[in-house]
Amino acid sequence: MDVIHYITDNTPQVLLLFGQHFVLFAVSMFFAILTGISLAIYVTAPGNEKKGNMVVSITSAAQAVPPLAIVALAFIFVGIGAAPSIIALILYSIVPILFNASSGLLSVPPKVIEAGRGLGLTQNQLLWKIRIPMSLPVIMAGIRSAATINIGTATVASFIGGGGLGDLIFMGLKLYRPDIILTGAILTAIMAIAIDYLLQMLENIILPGGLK
Amino acid sequence: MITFSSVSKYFEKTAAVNNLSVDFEHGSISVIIGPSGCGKTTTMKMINRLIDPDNGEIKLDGKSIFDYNLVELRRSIGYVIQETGLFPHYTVYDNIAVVPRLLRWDNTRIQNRVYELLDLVTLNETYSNKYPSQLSGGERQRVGLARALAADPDILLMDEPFGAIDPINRLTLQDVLLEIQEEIKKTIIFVTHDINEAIKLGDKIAIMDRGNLVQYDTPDIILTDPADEFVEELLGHDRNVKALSLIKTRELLQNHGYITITPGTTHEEARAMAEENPASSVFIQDDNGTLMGRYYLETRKDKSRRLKKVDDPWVVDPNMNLNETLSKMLQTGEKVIPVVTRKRKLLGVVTLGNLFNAANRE
Repeated sequence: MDVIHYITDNTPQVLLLFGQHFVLFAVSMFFAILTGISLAIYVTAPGNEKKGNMVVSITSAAQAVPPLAIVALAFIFVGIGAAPSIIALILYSIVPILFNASSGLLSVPPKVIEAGRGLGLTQNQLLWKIRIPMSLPVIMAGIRSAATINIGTATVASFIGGGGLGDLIFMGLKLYRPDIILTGAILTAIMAIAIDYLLQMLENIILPGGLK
Repeated sequence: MITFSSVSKYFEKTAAVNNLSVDFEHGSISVIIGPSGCGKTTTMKMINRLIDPDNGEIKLDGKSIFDYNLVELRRSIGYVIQETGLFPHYTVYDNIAVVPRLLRWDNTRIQNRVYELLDLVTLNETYSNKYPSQLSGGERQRVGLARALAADPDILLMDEPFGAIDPINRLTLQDVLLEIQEEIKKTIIFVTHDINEAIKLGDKIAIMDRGNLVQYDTPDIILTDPADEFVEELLGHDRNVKALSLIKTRELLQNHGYITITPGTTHEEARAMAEENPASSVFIQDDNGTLMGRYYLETRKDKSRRLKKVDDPWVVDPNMNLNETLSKMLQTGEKVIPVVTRKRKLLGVVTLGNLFNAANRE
Protein backbone atom coordinates (compact mmCIF):
# COMPACT_ATOMS: atom_id res chain seq x y z
CA MET A 1 0.00 0.00 0.00
CA ASP A 2 2.97 2.24 0.66
CA VAL A 3 3.89 1.82 -2.98
CA ILE A 4 0.50 3.10 -4.16
CA HIS A 5 0.74 6.02 -1.72
CA TYR A 6 4.15 6.92 -3.04
CA ILE A 7 2.92 6.82 -6.64
CA THR A 8 -0.20 8.90 -5.97
CA ASP A 9 1.81 11.45 -3.97
CA ASN A 10 4.57 11.76 -6.58
CA THR A 11 2.76 11.06 -9.85
CA PRO A 12 4.62 13.58 -12.08
CA GLN A 13 8.05 12.38 -10.92
CA VAL A 14 7.14 8.70 -11.27
CA LEU A 15 5.67 9.25 -14.74
CA LEU A 16 8.76 11.15 -15.84
CA LEU A 17 11.08 8.38 -14.67
CA PHE A 18 8.82 5.72 -16.23
CA GLY A 19 8.97 7.64 -19.50
CA GLN A 20 12.75 8.02 -19.31
CA HIS A 21 13.05 4.32 -18.63
CA PHE A 22 10.91 3.50 -21.67
CA VAL A 23 13.00 5.80 -23.87
CA LEU A 24 16.22 4.14 -22.68
CA PHE A 25 14.69 0.79 -23.51
CA ALA A 26 13.12 1.73 -26.85
CA VAL A 27 16.12 3.57 -28.30
CA SER A 28 18.65 0.98 -27.22
CA MET A 29 16.48 -1.94 -28.40
CA PHE A 30 15.95 -0.31 -31.79
CA PHE A 31 19.68 -0.11 -32.42
CA ALA A 32 20.36 -3.49 -30.82
CA ILE A 33 17.85 -5.21 -33.11
CA LEU A 34 19.15 -3.37 -36.16
CA THR A 35 22.82 -4.12 -35.55
CA GLY A 36 22.26 -7.57 -34.03
CA ILE A 37 20.25 -8.88 -36.95
CA SER A 38 22.43 -7.23 -39.60
CA LEU A 39 25.51 -8.74 -37.98
CA ALA A 40 23.82 -12.12 -37.80
CA ILE A 41 22.91 -11.96 -41.50
CA TYR A 42 26.48 -11.00 -42.35
CA VAL A 43 28.21 -13.70 -40.32
CA THR A 44 25.87 -16.45 -41.50
CA ALA A 45 26.00 -15.55 -45.20
CA PRO A 46 27.02 -18.50 -47.43
CA GLY A 47 30.80 -18.90 -47.21
CA ASN A 48 30.90 -17.14 -43.84
CA GLU A 49 29.72 -20.14 -41.82
CA LYS A 50 32.97 -20.28 -39.84
CA LYS A 51 32.49 -16.71 -38.67
CA GLY A 52 28.89 -17.56 -37.86
CA ASN A 53 29.83 -20.47 -35.65
CA MET A 54 32.48 -18.32 -33.94
CA VAL A 55 29.95 -15.57 -33.24
CA VAL A 56 27.55 -18.14 -31.79
CA SER A 57 30.25 -19.34 -29.37
CA ILE A 58 31.37 -15.83 -28.40
CA THR A 59 27.87 -14.45 -27.85
CA SER A 60 26.89 -17.53 -25.91
CA ALA A 61 29.78 -16.86 -23.50
CA ALA A 62 29.24 -13.08 -23.49
CA GLN A 63 25.77 -13.53 -21.99
CA ALA A 64 27.53 -14.30 -18.71
CA VAL A 65 29.13 -10.82 -18.44
CA PRO A 66 27.44 -8.89 -15.58
CA PRO A 67 25.43 -5.81 -16.68
CA LEU A 68 27.12 -3.62 -14.08
CA ALA A 69 30.49 -4.24 -15.75
CA ILE A 70 29.19 -3.02 -19.13
CA VAL A 71 27.64 0.07 -17.55
CA ALA A 72 30.88 0.78 -15.66
CA LEU A 73 32.92 0.44 -18.87
CA ALA A 74 30.53 2.76 -20.72
CA PHE A 75 31.00 5.30 -17.92
CA ILE A 76 34.80 5.10 -18.21
CA PHE A 77 34.90 5.44 -21.99
CA VAL A 78 31.89 7.70 -22.71
CA GLY A 79 31.12 9.50 -19.47
CA ILE A 80 27.83 10.08 -17.71
CA GLY A 81 24.29 10.72 -18.90
CA ALA A 82 21.71 9.09 -21.14
CA ALA A 83 24.04 8.48 -24.12
CA PRO A 84 26.52 6.18 -22.35
CA SER A 85 23.58 4.38 -20.72
CA ILE A 86 22.02 3.75 -24.11
CA ILE A 87 25.36 2.59 -25.55
CA ALA A 88 25.77 0.16 -22.63
CA LEU A 89 22.22 -1.13 -23.11
CA ILE A 90 22.74 -1.57 -26.87
CA LEU A 91 25.89 -3.61 -26.24
CA TYR A 92 24.19 -5.69 -23.61
CA SER A 93 21.02 -6.36 -25.68
CA ILE A 94 22.85 -7.19 -28.90
CA VAL A 95 24.22 -10.36 -27.34
CA PRO A 96 21.03 -12.48 -27.10
CA ILE A 97 19.70 -11.06 -30.37
CA LEU A 98 22.89 -11.85 -32.27
CA PHE A 99 23.18 -15.25 -30.61
CA ASN A 100 19.64 -16.33 -31.46
CA ALA A 101 19.56 -14.83 -34.95
CA SER A 102 22.90 -16.44 -35.88
CA SER A 103 22.03 -19.86 -34.54
CA GLY A 104 18.56 -19.61 -36.11
CA LEU A 105 19.93 -18.70 -39.53
CA LEU A 106 22.57 -21.42 -39.31
CA SER A 107 20.02 -24.08 -38.39
CA VAL A 108 17.91 -23.85 -41.57
CA PRO A 109 18.21 -27.37 -43.05
CA PRO A 110 20.75 -27.46 -45.93
CA LYS A 111 18.29 -29.52 -47.99
CA VAL A 112 15.77 -26.68 -47.94
CA ILE A 113 18.40 -24.18 -49.02
CA GLU A 114 19.60 -26.53 -51.74
CA ALA A 115 16.03 -26.90 -52.99
CA GLY A 116 15.72 -23.11 -53.06
CA ARG A 117 18.95 -22.71 -55.01
CA GLY A 118 17.92 -25.48 -57.38
CA LEU A 119 14.61 -23.73 -58.06
CA GLY A 120 16.51 -20.59 -59.03
CA LEU A 121 16.21 -18.31 -55.99
CA THR A 122 18.95 -15.68 -55.76
CA GLN A 123 20.97 -15.33 -52.54
CA ASN A 124 18.80 -12.36 -51.53
CA GLN A 125 15.58 -14.22 -52.20
CA LEU A 126 16.89 -17.20 -50.24
CA LEU A 127 17.61 -14.87 -47.32
CA TRP A 128 14.32 -12.97 -47.25
CA LYS A 129 11.92 -15.65 -48.44
CA ILE A 130 13.39 -18.75 -46.85
CA ARG A 131 16.12 -18.30 -44.26
CA ILE A 132 14.74 -15.37 -42.25
CA PRO A 133 11.10 -16.53 -42.19
CA MET A 134 12.20 -20.03 -41.19
CA SER A 135 14.38 -18.74 -38.33
CA LEU A 136 11.84 -16.13 -37.21
CA PRO A 137 10.67 -18.09 -34.13
CA VAL A 138 14.27 -18.25 -32.85
CA ILE A 139 14.98 -14.61 -33.80
CA MET A 140 11.84 -13.44 -32.00
CA ALA A 141 12.74 -15.47 -28.90
CA GLY A 142 16.10 -13.65 -28.86
CA ILE A 143 14.45 -10.25 -29.18
CA ARG A 144 12.04 -11.04 -26.36
CA SER A 145 14.70 -12.20 -23.97
CA ALA A 146 16.84 -9.16 -24.93
CA ALA A 147 13.88 -6.85 -24.20
CA THR A 148 13.32 -8.32 -20.74
CA ILE A 149 17.02 -8.15 -19.89
CA ASN A 150 17.20 -4.62 -21.32
CA ILE A 151 14.41 -3.27 -19.13
CA GLY A 152 15.92 -4.84 -16.03
CA THR A 153 19.43 -3.65 -16.83
CA ALA A 154 18.21 -0.11 -17.58
CA THR A 155 17.77 0.38 -13.81
CA VAL A 156 21.56 0.18 -13.47
CA ALA A 157 21.86 3.09 -15.95
CA SER A 158 20.76 5.38 -13.17
CA PHE A 159 24.17 4.68 -11.64
CA ILE A 160 25.83 6.72 -14.41
CA GLY A 161 23.14 9.36 -14.66
CA GLY A 162 20.98 7.73 -17.30
CA GLY A 163 17.76 8.35 -15.40
CA GLY A 164 14.78 5.99 -15.47
CA LEU A 165 13.17 3.89 -12.76
CA GLY A 166 16.60 3.01 -11.38
CA ASP A 167 16.64 6.51 -9.88
CA LEU A 168 13.79 5.46 -7.56
CA ILE A 169 15.68 2.38 -6.46
CA PHE A 170 18.90 4.30 -5.72
CA MET A 171 16.97 7.08 -4.02
CA GLY A 172 15.14 4.56 -1.82
CA LEU A 173 18.47 3.00 -0.97
CA LYS A 174 19.96 6.33 0.13
CA LEU A 175 16.85 7.36 2.10
CA TYR A 176 16.38 3.86 3.54
CA ARG A 177 12.80 3.85 2.17
CA PRO A 178 11.67 0.36 1.05
CA ASP A 179 8.46 1.80 -0.44
CA ILE A 180 10.44 3.86 -2.95
CA ILE A 181 12.69 0.91 -3.82
CA LEU A 182 9.63 -1.29 -4.33
CA THR A 183 7.95 1.35 -6.48
CA GLY A 184 10.95 1.35 -8.83
CA ALA A 185 11.23 -2.43 -8.88
CA ILE A 186 7.52 -3.12 -9.39
CA LEU A 187 7.11 -0.56 -12.18
CA THR A 188 10.20 -2.00 -13.91
CA ALA A 189 8.73 -5.49 -13.69
CA ILE A 190 5.36 -4.29 -15.00
CA MET A 191 7.05 -2.65 -17.99
CA ALA A 192 9.03 -5.84 -18.71
CA ILE A 193 5.93 -8.03 -18.53
CA ALA A 194 3.88 -5.66 -20.70
CA ILE A 195 6.59 -5.40 -23.37
CA ASP A 196 7.05 -9.17 -23.42
CA TYR A 197 3.30 -9.61 -23.83
CA LEU A 198 3.20 -7.13 -26.71
CA LEU A 199 6.15 -8.84 -28.42
CA GLN A 200 4.41 -12.16 -28.04
CA MET A 201 1.33 -10.74 -29.76
CA LEU A 202 3.54 -9.34 -32.51
CA GLU A 203 5.19 -12.73 -32.90
CA ASN A 204 1.82 -14.43 -33.33
CA ILE A 205 0.97 -11.97 -36.09
CA ILE A 206 4.19 -12.10 -38.07
CA LEU A 207 5.11 -15.76 -37.63
CA PRO A 208 4.40 -17.62 -40.88
CA GLY A 209 1.87 -20.45 -40.65
CA GLY A 210 3.39 -23.91 -40.70
CA LEU A 211 5.96 -22.83 -38.10
CA LYS A 212 3.50 -22.12 -35.30
CA MET B 1 19.33 -33.50 -75.02
CA ILE B 2 21.85 -33.16 -72.20
CA THR B 3 25.41 -33.85 -73.33
CA PHE B 4 28.36 -34.47 -71.01
CA SER B 5 31.77 -34.37 -72.75
CA SER B 6 34.77 -35.57 -70.72
CA VAL B 7 33.39 -34.07 -67.50
CA SER B 8 35.39 -34.48 -64.29
CA LYS B 9 34.81 -33.21 -60.79
CA TYR B 10 37.30 -33.59 -57.95
CA PHE B 11 36.69 -33.26 -54.24
CA GLU B 12 40.05 -32.87 -52.52
CA LYS B 13 41.92 -34.71 -55.26
CA THR B 14 39.59 -37.74 -55.41
CA ALA B 15 37.53 -37.85 -58.57
CA ALA B 16 33.83 -37.79 -57.72
CA VAL B 17 33.15 -37.89 -61.43
CA ASN B 18 35.88 -39.08 -63.76
CA ASN B 19 35.99 -38.16 -67.44
CA LEU B 20 32.29 -38.72 -67.98
CA SER B 21 30.87 -38.55 -71.49
CA VAL B 22 27.22 -39.36 -71.89
CA ASP B 23 24.07 -38.17 -73.70
CA PHE B 24 20.80 -38.05 -71.80
CA GLU B 25 18.09 -38.24 -74.38
CA HIS B 26 15.27 -35.79 -74.92
CA GLY B 27 11.82 -36.74 -73.63
CA SER B 28 12.89 -39.89 -71.83
CA ILE B 29 13.74 -40.99 -68.31
CA SER B 30 17.45 -41.58 -67.74
CA VAL B 31 18.21 -43.20 -64.41
CA ILE B 32 21.64 -42.81 -62.81
CA ILE B 33 22.34 -45.56 -60.31
CA GLY B 34 25.23 -46.79 -58.22
CA PRO B 35 26.39 -47.18 -54.61
CA SER B 36 26.86 -44.11 -52.42
CA GLY B 37 29.90 -42.12 -53.42
CA CYS B 38 29.73 -43.30 -57.04
CA GLY B 39 29.18 -39.76 -58.32
CA LYS B 40 25.55 -40.06 -59.36
CA THR B 41 24.31 -37.07 -57.35
CA THR B 42 27.34 -34.98 -58.30
CA THR B 43 26.62 -35.73 -61.95
CA MET B 44 23.04 -34.57 -61.57
CA LYS B 45 23.91 -31.41 -59.65
CA MET B 46 26.33 -30.34 -62.36
CA ILE B 47 23.38 -30.01 -64.75
CA ASN B 48 21.73 -27.18 -62.81
CA ARG B 49 25.12 -25.93 -61.62
CA LEU B 50 24.64 -26.62 -57.93
CA ILE B 51 28.11 -28.06 -58.49
CA ASP B 52 30.45 -26.82 -61.22
CA PRO B 53 32.68 -29.31 -63.07
CA ASP B 54 36.47 -28.96 -62.96
CA ASN B 55 36.97 -30.23 -66.52
CA GLY B 56 34.87 -30.92 -69.58
CA GLU B 57 31.71 -29.48 -70.97
CA ILE B 58 27.99 -29.89 -70.36
CA LYS B 59 25.53 -28.77 -73.03
CA LEU B 60 21.77 -28.48 -73.13
CA ASP B 61 20.60 -28.92 -76.73
CA GLY B 62 24.03 -27.88 -77.94
CA LYS B 63 24.42 -24.77 -75.76
CA SER B 64 26.90 -24.83 -72.89
CA ILE B 65 25.31 -24.47 -69.46
CA PHE B 66 27.83 -21.69 -68.75
CA ASP B 67 26.30 -19.60 -71.53
CA TYR B 68 23.02 -19.42 -69.61
CA ASN B 69 22.31 -16.94 -66.81
CA LEU B 70 22.68 -19.06 -63.67
CA VAL B 71 19.34 -18.19 -62.10
CA GLU B 72 17.47 -18.47 -65.40
CA LEU B 73 19.09 -21.85 -66.05
CA ARG B 74 17.88 -23.16 -62.70
CA ARG B 75 14.38 -21.77 -63.17
CA SER B 76 14.15 -23.60 -66.48
CA ILE B 77 15.09 -26.94 -64.89
CA GLY B 78 12.74 -28.67 -62.46
CA TYR B 79 14.42 -29.98 -59.32
CA VAL B 80 13.01 -32.57 -56.92
CA ILE B 81 14.85 -33.85 -53.86
CA GLN B 82 13.88 -35.98 -50.87
CA GLU B 83 10.87 -34.67 -48.98
CA THR B 84 12.79 -32.26 -46.76
CA GLY B 85 13.11 -29.88 -49.70
CA LEU B 86 9.64 -28.35 -49.30
CA PHE B 87 9.51 -24.95 -47.60
CA PRO B 88 7.85 -25.62 -44.21
CA HIS B 89 6.60 -22.05 -43.78
CA TYR B 90 4.80 -22.05 -47.15
CA THR B 91 1.45 -23.68 -47.86
CA VAL B 92 1.20 -26.32 -50.55
CA TYR B 93 -0.08 -23.59 -52.87
CA ASP B 94 2.80 -21.22 -52.13
CA ASN B 95 5.35 -24.01 -52.48
CA ILE B 96 4.11 -24.88 -55.94
CA ALA B 97 3.84 -21.18 -56.86
CA VAL B 98 7.49 -20.37 -56.00
CA VAL B 99 8.94 -20.40 -59.52
CA PRO B 100 5.88 -18.90 -61.30
CA ARG B 101 6.07 -16.00 -58.83
CA LEU B 102 9.78 -15.57 -59.47
CA LEU B 103 8.90 -15.43 -63.15
CA ARG B 104 6.23 -12.79 -62.32
CA TRP B 105 3.23 -14.63 -63.73
CA ASP B 106 -0.11 -12.98 -62.95
CA ASN B 107 -2.21 -14.45 -60.13
CA THR B 108 -4.91 -16.04 -62.28
CA ARG B 109 -2.32 -17.86 -64.33
CA ILE B 110 -0.53 -19.03 -61.19
CA GLN B 111 -3.77 -20.27 -59.63
CA ASN B 112 -4.78 -22.18 -62.74
CA ARG B 113 -1.35 -23.73 -62.97
CA VAL B 114 -1.26 -24.76 -59.29
CA TYR B 115 -4.67 -26.43 -59.49
CA GLU B 116 -3.76 -28.13 -62.75
CA LEU B 117 -0.56 -29.51 -61.19
CA LEU B 118 -2.30 -30.68 -58.00
CA ASP B 119 -4.62 -32.59 -60.26
CA LEU B 120 -1.75 -33.98 -62.31
CA VAL B 121 0.01 -35.41 -59.24
CA THR B 122 -3.29 -36.97 -58.05
CA LEU B 123 -3.93 -34.46 -55.26
CA ASN B 124 -6.60 -31.75 -55.44
CA GLU B 125 -7.44 -28.12 -54.59
CA THR B 126 -8.32 -28.97 -50.99
CA TYR B 127 -4.60 -29.39 -50.34
CA SER B 128 -3.84 -25.75 -51.26
CA ASN B 129 -3.86 -24.32 -47.76
CA LYS B 130 -2.17 -27.18 -45.95
CA TYR B 131 1.39 -26.93 -44.71
CA PRO B 132 4.00 -29.59 -45.49
CA SER B 133 3.95 -30.77 -41.86
CA GLN B 134 0.28 -31.70 -42.29
CA LEU B 135 0.99 -34.04 -45.22
CA SER B 136 2.11 -37.66 -45.43
CA GLY B 137 5.51 -38.45 -46.94
CA GLY B 138 3.92 -39.53 -50.21
CA GLU B 139 1.81 -36.38 -50.43
CA ARG B 140 4.83 -34.18 -49.72
CA GLN B 141 6.70 -35.88 -52.54
CA ARG B 142 3.83 -35.22 -54.93
CA VAL B 143 3.86 -31.57 -53.95
CA GLY B 144 7.63 -31.54 -54.54
CA LEU B 145 7.05 -32.95 -58.02
CA ALA B 146 4.30 -30.39 -58.72
CA ARG B 147 6.60 -27.58 -57.56
CA ALA B 148 9.34 -28.76 -59.91
CA LEU B 149 6.91 -28.88 -62.84
CA ALA B 150 5.35 -25.47 -62.09
CA ALA B 151 6.99 -23.44 -64.83
CA ASP B 152 6.79 -26.32 -67.31
CA PRO B 153 10.55 -26.92 -67.55
CA ASP B 154 11.88 -29.18 -70.32
CA ILE B 155 14.24 -30.90 -67.94
CA LEU B 156 13.43 -32.48 -64.59
CA LEU B 157 16.16 -33.50 -62.15
CA MET B 158 15.06 -35.95 -59.47
CA ASP B 159 17.52 -36.77 -56.69
CA GLU B 160 16.40 -39.97 -54.92
CA PRO B 161 12.92 -38.46 -54.69
CA PHE B 162 11.23 -41.57 -53.31
CA GLY B 163 14.11 -42.64 -51.06
CA ALA B 164 12.38 -41.73 -47.81
CA ILE B 165 9.00 -43.21 -48.73
CA ASP B 166 7.74 -46.61 -47.54
CA PRO B 167 7.88 -49.40 -50.17
CA ILE B 168 4.15 -49.51 -50.93
CA ASN B 169 3.77 -45.78 -51.45
CA ARG B 170 7.01 -45.77 -53.42
CA LEU B 171 5.48 -48.16 -55.97
CA THR B 172 2.42 -45.92 -56.23
CA LEU B 173 4.54 -42.81 -56.73
CA GLN B 174 6.56 -44.58 -59.41
CA ASP B 175 3.32 -45.39 -61.23
CA VAL B 176 2.20 -41.77 -60.87
CA LEU B 177 5.50 -40.56 -62.30
CA LEU B 178 5.26 -42.94 -65.27
CA GLU B 179 1.69 -41.87 -65.95
CA ILE B 180 2.64 -38.20 -65.77
CA GLN B 181 5.62 -38.78 -68.04
CA GLU B 182 3.32 -40.38 -70.64
CA GLU B 183 1.55 -37.05 -70.72
CA ILE B 184 4.36 -34.51 -70.37
CA LYS B 185 7.33 -36.22 -72.04
CA LYS B 186 10.03 -34.36 -70.10
CA THR B 187 13.72 -35.07 -70.19
CA ILE B 188 14.04 -36.63 -66.74
CA ILE B 189 17.29 -37.43 -64.96
CA PHE B 190 16.47 -39.67 -62.01
CA VAL B 191 19.07 -40.59 -59.39
CA THR B 192 18.43 -43.66 -57.24
CA HIS B 193 20.23 -46.49 -55.47
CA ASP B 194 17.30 -48.88 -55.89
CA ILE B 195 17.86 -51.17 -58.88
CA ASN B 196 14.19 -52.19 -59.05
CA GLU B 197 13.22 -48.54 -59.27
CA ALA B 198 15.82 -47.99 -62.00
CA ILE B 199 14.53 -50.91 -64.06
CA LYS B 200 10.92 -49.87 -63.64
CA LEU B 201 11.37 -46.18 -64.47
CA GLY B 202 14.38 -45.96 -66.74
CA ASP B 203 14.19 -45.73 -70.50
CA LYS B 204 17.94 -45.89 -70.13
CA ILE B 205 20.06 -46.64 -67.07
CA ALA B 206 23.52 -45.20 -66.41
CA ILE B 207 25.40 -47.33 -63.90
CA MET B 208 28.22 -45.56 -62.08
CA ASP B 209 30.96 -46.83 -59.81
CA ARG B 210 33.60 -44.65 -58.13
CA GLY B 211 33.13 -41.78 -60.54
CA ASN B 212 33.15 -43.89 -63.69
CA LEU B 213 30.32 -44.73 -66.03
CA VAL B 214 30.28 -48.53 -66.12
CA GLN B 215 27.34 -49.15 -68.43
CA TYR B 216 24.73 -47.01 -70.12
CA ASP B 217 21.98 -48.95 -71.83
CA THR B 218 18.31 -49.80 -71.84
CA PRO B 219 17.13 -51.89 -68.87
CA ASP B 220 16.58 -54.78 -71.23
CA ILE B 221 20.20 -54.85 -72.41
CA ILE B 222 21.57 -54.25 -68.91
CA LEU B 223 19.57 -57.18 -67.52
CA THR B 224 20.45 -59.56 -70.33
CA ASP B 225 23.98 -58.39 -71.00
CA PRO B 226 25.59 -56.80 -67.94
CA ALA B 227 28.92 -55.12 -68.80
CA ASP B 228 30.93 -56.59 -65.93
CA GLU B 229 30.79 -58.24 -62.53
CA PHE B 230 29.99 -54.97 -60.80
CA VAL B 231 26.80 -54.59 -62.84
CA GLU B 232 25.91 -58.25 -62.28
CA GLU B 233 26.30 -57.76 -58.56
CA LEU B 234 24.19 -54.61 -58.63
CA LEU B 235 21.44 -56.49 -60.46
CA GLY B 236 21.51 -59.30 -57.93
CA HIS B 237 21.02 -63.04 -58.51
CA ASP B 238 17.41 -62.64 -59.49
CA ARG B 239 17.91 -60.69 -62.67
CA ASN B 240 15.79 -63.14 -64.66
CA VAL B 241 12.93 -62.34 -62.35
CA LYS B 242 13.72 -58.60 -62.53
CA ALA B 243 13.62 -58.82 -66.33
CA LEU B 244 9.96 -59.78 -66.00
CA SER B 245 9.20 -56.27 -64.82
CA LEU B 246 10.04 -54.98 -68.31
CA ILE B 247 7.14 -56.87 -69.87
CA LYS B 248 3.49 -55.93 -69.49
CA THR B 249 1.06 -58.71 -68.64
CA ARG B 250 -0.96 -58.00 -71.78
CA GLU B 251 2.03 -59.01 -73.93
CA LEU B 252 1.89 -62.53 -72.50
CA LEU B 253 -1.86 -62.93 -72.67
CA GLN B 254 -3.12 -66.25 -74.04
CA ASN B 255 -6.62 -66.90 -75.31
CA HIS B 256 -6.69 -70.66 -74.98
CA GLY B 257 -6.42 -73.16 -72.18
CA TYR B 258 -9.72 -72.13 -70.61
CA ILE B 259 -13.41 -72.49 -71.28
CA THR B 260 -16.14 -70.00 -70.58
CA ILE B 261 -19.73 -70.71 -69.60
CA THR B 262 -22.70 -68.40 -69.19
CA PRO B 263 -24.05 -67.34 -65.77
CA GLY B 264 -27.20 -69.42 -66.39
CA THR B 265 -25.33 -72.75 -66.54
CA THR B 266 -26.32 -75.20 -63.78
CA HIS B 267 -23.87 -76.73 -61.34
CA GLU B 268 -24.24 -80.16 -62.95
CA GLU B 269 -23.59 -78.86 -66.45
CA ALA B 270 -20.58 -76.96 -65.19
CA ARG B 271 -19.25 -80.07 -63.48
CA ALA B 272 -19.66 -82.12 -66.64
CA MET B 273 -17.77 -79.52 -68.68
CA ALA B 274 -15.01 -79.24 -66.10
CA GLU B 275 -14.52 -82.98 -65.95
CA GLU B 276 -14.48 -83.18 -69.71
CA ASN B 277 -11.65 -80.61 -69.90
CA PRO B 278 -9.56 -81.31 -66.78
CA ALA B 279 -6.62 -79.24 -68.06
CA SER B 280 -8.70 -76.08 -68.53
CA SER B 281 -9.88 -73.38 -66.16
CA VAL B 282 -13.59 -72.70 -66.20
CA PHE B 283 -14.75 -69.06 -66.13
CA ILE B 284 -18.25 -67.67 -65.93
CA GLN B 285 -18.67 -64.88 -68.44
CA ASP B 286 -21.79 -62.86 -69.25
CA ASP B 287 -22.91 -61.62 -72.68
CA ASN B 288 -20.81 -58.44 -72.36
CA GLY B 289 -17.65 -60.45 -71.78
CA THR B 290 -17.54 -59.59 -68.07
CA LEU B 291 -15.95 -62.15 -65.76
CA MET B 292 -18.64 -63.22 -63.28
CA GLY B 293 -16.90 -66.06 -61.45
CA ARG B 294 -14.75 -69.15 -61.71
CA TYR B 295 -15.16 -72.88 -61.08
CA TYR B 296 -12.43 -74.95 -59.50
CA LEU B 297 -12.43 -78.72 -59.79
CA GLU B 298 -10.75 -79.85 -56.59
CA THR B 299 -9.42 -83.35 -56.00
CA ARG B 300 -9.78 -84.51 -52.39
CA LYS B 301 -7.58 -86.95 -50.52
CA ASP B 302 -9.90 -89.84 -51.29
CA LYS B 303 -9.47 -89.03 -55.01
CA SER B 304 -13.10 -87.89 -55.29
CA ARG B 305 -13.64 -84.57 -57.04
CA ARG B 306 -15.56 -81.57 -55.90
CA LEU B 307 -16.61 -78.52 -57.92
CA LYS B 308 -16.22 -75.19 -56.11
CA LYS B 309 -17.64 -71.91 -57.37
CA VAL B 310 -15.91 -68.60 -56.57
CA ASP B 311 -17.83 -65.40 -57.40
CA ASP B 312 -14.89 -63.07 -57.02
CA PRO B 313 -11.81 -64.90 -58.34
CA TRP B 314 -8.24 -63.51 -58.28
CA VAL B 315 -7.47 -61.46 -61.37
CA VAL B 316 -4.65 -59.31 -62.75
CA ASP B 317 -4.67 -56.12 -64.76
CA PRO B 318 -3.21 -56.17 -68.31
CA ASN B 319 -1.03 -53.13 -67.45
CA MET B 320 0.67 -54.83 -64.52
CA ASN B 321 4.18 -55.98 -65.33
CA LEU B 322 4.97 -59.69 -65.28
CA ASN B 323 6.90 -59.36 -62.05
CA GLU B 324 3.80 -58.06 -60.29
CA THR B 325 1.65 -60.74 -61.92
CA LEU B 326 4.09 -63.42 -60.80
CA SER B 327 3.98 -62.13 -57.21
CA LYS B 328 0.21 -62.21 -57.28
CA MET B 329 0.17 -65.77 -58.58
CA LEU B 330 2.67 -66.90 -55.94
CA GLN B 331 0.63 -65.18 -53.25
CA THR B 332 -2.69 -66.65 -54.28
CA GLY B 333 -1.46 -70.05 -55.44
CA GLU B 334 -3.10 -69.71 -58.85
CA LYS B 335 -1.34 -71.55 -61.69
CA VAL B 336 -3.61 -69.85 -64.22
CA ILE B 337 -4.88 -66.35 -63.56
CA PRO B 338 -7.48 -64.42 -65.61
CA VAL B 339 -6.52 -61.03 -67.03
CA VAL B 340 -9.38 -58.51 -66.89
CA THR B 341 -9.80 -54.83 -67.69
CA ARG B 342 -10.81 -52.32 -65.04
CA LYS B 343 -14.43 -53.05 -65.92
CA ARG B 344 -13.70 -56.77 -65.42
CA LYS B 345 -13.92 -57.71 -69.08
CA LEU B 346 -12.08 -61.02 -69.53
CA LEU B 347 -9.16 -60.65 -71.95
CA GLY B 348 -7.46 -64.01 -71.49
CA VAL B 349 -5.19 -65.76 -69.02
CA VAL B 350 -1.56 -65.89 -67.97
CA THR B 351 -0.12 -69.20 -66.84
CA LEU B 352 2.91 -70.03 -64.72
CA GLY B 353 4.28 -71.84 -67.79
CA ASN B 354 4.11 -68.61 -69.81
CA LEU B 355 5.96 -66.76 -67.06
CA PHE B 356 8.63 -69.43 -66.86
CA ASN B 357 9.24 -69.17 -70.60
CA ALA B 358 9.35 -65.38 -70.45
CA ALA B 359 11.92 -65.42 -67.67
CA ASN B 360 14.13 -67.86 -69.58
CA ARG B 361 13.65 -66.56 -73.10
CA GLU B 362 17.26 -65.43 -73.43
